[in-house]
Amino acid sequence: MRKTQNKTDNDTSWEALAVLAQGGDKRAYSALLAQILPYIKMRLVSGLSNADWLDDIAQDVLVSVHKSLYSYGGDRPFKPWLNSIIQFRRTDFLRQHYKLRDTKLSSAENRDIFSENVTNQPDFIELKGIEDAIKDIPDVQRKIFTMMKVEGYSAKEVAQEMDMSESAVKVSAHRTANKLKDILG
Amino acid sequence: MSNKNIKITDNLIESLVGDLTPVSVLPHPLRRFVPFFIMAVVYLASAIIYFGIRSDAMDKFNDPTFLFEMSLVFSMALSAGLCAMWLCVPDMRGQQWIISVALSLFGVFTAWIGFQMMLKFSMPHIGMHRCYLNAIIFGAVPALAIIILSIRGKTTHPLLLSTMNTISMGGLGYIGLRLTCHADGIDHICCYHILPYILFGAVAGLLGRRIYRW
Repeated sequence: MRKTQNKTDNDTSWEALAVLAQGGDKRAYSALLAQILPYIKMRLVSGLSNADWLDDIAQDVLVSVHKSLYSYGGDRPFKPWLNSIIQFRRTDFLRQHYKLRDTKLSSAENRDIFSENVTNQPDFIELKGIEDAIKDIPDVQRKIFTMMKVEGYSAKEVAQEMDMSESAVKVSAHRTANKLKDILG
Repeated sequence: MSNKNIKITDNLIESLVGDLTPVSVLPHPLRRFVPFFIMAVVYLASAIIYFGIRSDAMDKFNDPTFLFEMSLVFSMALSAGLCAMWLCVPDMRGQQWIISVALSLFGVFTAWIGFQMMLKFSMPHIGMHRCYLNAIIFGAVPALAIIILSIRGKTTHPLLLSTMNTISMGGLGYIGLRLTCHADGIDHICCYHILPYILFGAVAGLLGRRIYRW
C-alpha cells in the first residue's frame, strides 16, 4: 500500500515537473531529469546484453526527452510517454550498433583489399581486426585490459597501478573482453 | 557506472537545463487533424470541380457497390489521418487501438480490390496516362500537409507513420480519381489509380526513418 502511494506521488511529481519545465522552469527541469535518470536505467538494464551501453542509451533518452518535451500532454501520465521514448531509443541504438558491427565484419572479411600487399593475410586480418576493436575501447578500460591480458600483470598489480579496487579491475577486464567479442563477432 | 560516465551524464543534464526555453505544447491530435482534413477535403473538391466530375456521377451514386467503395476509402483515409496525428506523440496518448481501425479498413479495401482482380483482372498496356498526372495533383497537397504536420510531432513509429500518411493521402487521391475518371475496369483502377500511391508509399517507407528522425 505504501509502495503504491509512493509510486503515485512519484508519477504526479514528474507530471508537475514536466509541466513546469514546459513553461521554462529550469529548477523543475533539472529535478525532473535527475529523477528520471535512475528510472531510465532501471528500464534499460534488463534488456541489454552489454552493460556498457546503458549510459550511452540513457544519455540518448535524456536528449530525446529534451527535444520532445513539447509533445508531452500535461493531462496524461508521464511514465507511458517516457517509456515510449526509452523503448524507441533502445531499439534505435541496437539497430545502429548491429548495423555498424555487420559493416565492420564485412570489411574485415574482404581479403581482396590486402591480397596484393600483405604476405601473411589471415594473420594480418585477425590482428588488424583486434587492433581496430581495441582502439574503440575507452582509455582506462583499454589500459586495464592490455596490462592484464597482453602484458600478463595480475589483477592486484593492475589495481595498485590504476589506484582502483581489485574487483573493479576484474569487472573492467571482463567487460572489455565481452565488448571485444561482441565487436569481433 | 564509472565516475567518468557520471560526470558526462551530469554535464549533459546541466547543458540540457541550460538550453531550456519555454515551449508551446503540441495541440491535441484531434485539434491538429481537423484543420488538415478540412483543408484536404476542400482541396480535393476544388480539384474535382476543376477537372470535371464524371458525367455518369448520378448513376454511380445510385450504385450501392460504388457507394460502398467510396465510403470504405473515405473511412480508411479518415482513420489513417487520425492515426497519423496520434502517432506524432511518443506514447500516442494511450490510443494505440486506433492503429487497428485504420489497418483493418485498409485490409478490407485490399481484400476488396484483390477479390475483383481475381474475378476480372487482365494486364493493360501501361503507358503515360492523364490519370498519373491527376493522381499526383490530387495527392500532392494533402501529402505535403500531412508530412509537415508529422515532422512537427515526435514519433516513435516512423515506418507506421509513413504508412498511415500514405494511406490517408492515397485514399483521398483515389476518391478524386474515381470521381473524375470514367474507367471502372479493375485493371485500369489498379494500374492508374492505385499504383502511383503504392509507389509513393514505397518511397515514403524507405525514407520514413530519415524524414521523421529526431
